Amino acid sequence: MHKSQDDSDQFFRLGPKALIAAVSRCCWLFALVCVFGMFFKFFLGLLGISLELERVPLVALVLVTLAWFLVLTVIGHFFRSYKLDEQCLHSREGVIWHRHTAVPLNRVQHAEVARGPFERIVNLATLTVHTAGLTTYAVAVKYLDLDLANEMLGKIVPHEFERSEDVSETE
Amino acid sequence: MCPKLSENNAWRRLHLTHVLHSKWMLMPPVAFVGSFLFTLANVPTPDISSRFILIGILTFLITNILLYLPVLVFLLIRHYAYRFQFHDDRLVVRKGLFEVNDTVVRYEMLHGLDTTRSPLHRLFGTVRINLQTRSLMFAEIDLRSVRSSVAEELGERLRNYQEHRSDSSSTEMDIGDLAQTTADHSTHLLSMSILECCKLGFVRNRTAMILSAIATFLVTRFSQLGSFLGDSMKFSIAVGPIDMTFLGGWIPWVEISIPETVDTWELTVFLAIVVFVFLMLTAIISLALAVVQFYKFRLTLNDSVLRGESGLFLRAIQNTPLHRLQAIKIVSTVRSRLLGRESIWFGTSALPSFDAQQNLLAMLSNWLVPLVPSNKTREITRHVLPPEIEFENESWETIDVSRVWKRRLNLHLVYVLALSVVFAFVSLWLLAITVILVGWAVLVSKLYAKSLRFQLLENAIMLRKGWWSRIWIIVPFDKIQAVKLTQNPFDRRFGMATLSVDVAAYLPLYIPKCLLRIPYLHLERCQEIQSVLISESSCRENAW
Repeated sequence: MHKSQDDSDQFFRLGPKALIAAVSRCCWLFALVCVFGMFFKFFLGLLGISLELERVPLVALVLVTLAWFLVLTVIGHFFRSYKLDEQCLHSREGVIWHRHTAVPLNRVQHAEVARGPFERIVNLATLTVHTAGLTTYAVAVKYLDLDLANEMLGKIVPHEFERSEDVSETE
Repeated sequence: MCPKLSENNAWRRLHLTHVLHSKWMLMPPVAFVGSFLFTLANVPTPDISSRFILIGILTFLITNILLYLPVLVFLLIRHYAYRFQFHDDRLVVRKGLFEVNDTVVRYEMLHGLDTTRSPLHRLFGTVRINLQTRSLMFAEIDLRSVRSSVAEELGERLRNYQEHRSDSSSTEMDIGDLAQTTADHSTHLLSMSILECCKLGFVRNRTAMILSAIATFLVTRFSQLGSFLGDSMKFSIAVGPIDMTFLGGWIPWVEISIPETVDTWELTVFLAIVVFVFLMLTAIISLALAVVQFYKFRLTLNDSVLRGESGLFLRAIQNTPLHRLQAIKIVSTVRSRLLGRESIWFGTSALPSFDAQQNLLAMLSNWLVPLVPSNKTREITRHVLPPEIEFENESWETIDVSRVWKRRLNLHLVYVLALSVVFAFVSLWLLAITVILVGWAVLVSKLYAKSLRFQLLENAIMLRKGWWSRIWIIVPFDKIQAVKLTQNPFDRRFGMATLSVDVAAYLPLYIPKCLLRIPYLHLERCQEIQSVLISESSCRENAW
C-alpha cells in the first residue's frame, strides 16, 4: 500500500495490483456487454428486425468507448483511498464526483470481505461495511490486499465485541 | 426450525372477518366498473334505455358472482394458512400453504405498534394490530383482524416482558409502554378540530391535485364539456403511434393540433372552465381526505411513548417510543404560513413493508403533527427531542451568500440553457422567455443562498433551508449513521463541498436522498464539521 503524498492525515492509496484488477474487471465487463449486444442483434434478427451497421464506425465506437472506460478506471484508481482509525472508516473515491464517506465504527451493523474472480487471481479482496443508514447502507473499500482486508475486518468486528462486553459488564 | 409449542402458546388464527378487509374483495366491482366505463366511452351513441340498464345490472351481478367465487376461495385458504402465537419473549407468525414460512419477532426488536379500527372492526369487535421492526425484509407483522381480547393479551405480554427486562438488566426498555392504551399518565400535546382539518386540506393538497387532474381529464373527456365548443374549434391531444409534428417530431407519440382558425375567446373560456373544475375538485378532495384521515387527531405523550390517534372511518392509533425517533423535520409552506401553521414529520427506523407502502393512507400517516400553530411547534419539539437540545438557540451559522448564489446560479443556468435549446426548436420567439427565466434564476439563487443556514448544537445538528417552503431538519448526534462529503466539478471550482448526514430514518413519500444535506459549504469548514460529527457520533451509543 502506498501512503498518499498530498494527504497529511494518512489516507492510503491502493497498490499496482489493485489497478491490474480494476482494469481486468473493466475489460471483462466491457466484453460481456459486447457479447450481450451481439446476442441482442441476433435475437432481433430472429424477430425480423435487422440492425445494419457499418463495420468501421461500429469498431471505432467500440474502441472509443473501451478507451473511455479504461481511462476512467485508471484515473479512478488514483482517486481511491481509505483510512481506518480508532473511530471510523473513511473511504474516498470518484473521478468527476469526489466522495468522502466516513462511517463511525460503533454504527457498523456487520462487515464482510468478498473476493471476485479477478481479485482472487491477484490476491485482493473487497471490504464492505454495512450500516443502518438509508443511503449509506454499505461502504465498500475495493481491491485491498487480502491480508489487509482481513486485518481491517478484525479491527472493525472486535470493536463490536468490546462494545457488547462493556454492556454486559454494566449489567 | 419451528419453535416448540408450550401449553399456553397455541396457534391462533385471525378473525374470519379479516377477509372483508382484503383488497382482493374490491377487485370484482372495480373490474366491472372499469369495463363498463370503457364500453360506455367507446360506444358511438350510447343508448341509455331501461333495457340497457337492466342488461347492465344483470351483467354486474353475474360477473361479480363469477369473480367473487375464486377470490373467496383464495382468501379462505389464506385465512386457514395464516396462524400466529404469542410467547413470553417473541411473536411467531406462520403463513403459506405449500411452502410454510415462520417469522419470529422478538419483542425487544419492535420499533412501533399501531392499532387500527375501521367501521368493520368496530362492528365485529375486532382490531388490527401492526407491529414494525427495522428489518428490511418482513419488516412488518400485520394482524389484520383479531379480537380485542387478543390485543389486550399481547399488551399484557409486552408489559410482562418489560418488567422482566427491567428486573434483569439496567438497560432502558420501553417495549411494554408500547402496549399502554390508557391515558392515565399521559401529557396532552395537541388536538385538531374539524376546522383545523379543513385548514389542513387547504395547506396540503398535492395528492388531491393528482386525483383532480385525473378527474378533470375524465370529466372533460367523457362529458359534454369536451364538445361544448362544437365543431368550430378542434383542439385535440392524441396519444398513440401517430406520425406527429409536435416539437418538430421530437416526441412522435404525442400530437397537439390546433387549427389555424382558432377563436381565442372560445379557447379562453374552455381553458377557464377546465381550470375551474380542476381547482374545485382539488379543494373538495383535499378537504375530504384531510377530514377522513385526521378527524379528532390527538397527540399525547405517555411517559416515553408518543401516541397519536386519528381517523374518521379508520381509527388508527400509532405508538412510537421517543428513543426510536431518528430525525425531525418541520415544514412551513407558503399556504401554511398564511394560516400561521407548520407541519412536523418524524422519521423512525421502522420500515413499513411493501404492502403497507402501497396503502396511500398509511404512507401519509407518518406525520407527527400534520398541522400545528407556529407558536406551538417549539413546545411540541421540546417534548419530543432530547431535553439537552436547545431548539430556541438562534446562533445559526450562515454560508457565504455572495459565493453561494453564484454557484447556485450555475446550476439553474444549465437548466435554462437546456430549455432554451428546446425553445429554439419550436420558435425563436420563445427564446424571449429565456431572458425572463435568467432573471428568475438570479432571484431564486439569491433567496436560496440567504435562506440556507445550519447550527451545530451540543447534541444535534440542525439545518434550515428554503425560502418558498421553509424546512428545518434536526438530527441528534447519536442517530447519525454515516457522514459523506461530496464535491462535483462546479464545487471544486468554487472550493465548496456538500455534507450529507445519513440516519436510519424512513420518511414516507420521500425520494431516497440523504435527509440532512448541507450544500455549498467551504471545503475546509465541511471537513471540519464532518470530523466533529464523526467524533461526536462515535462517542455516543445509538439507541434505535
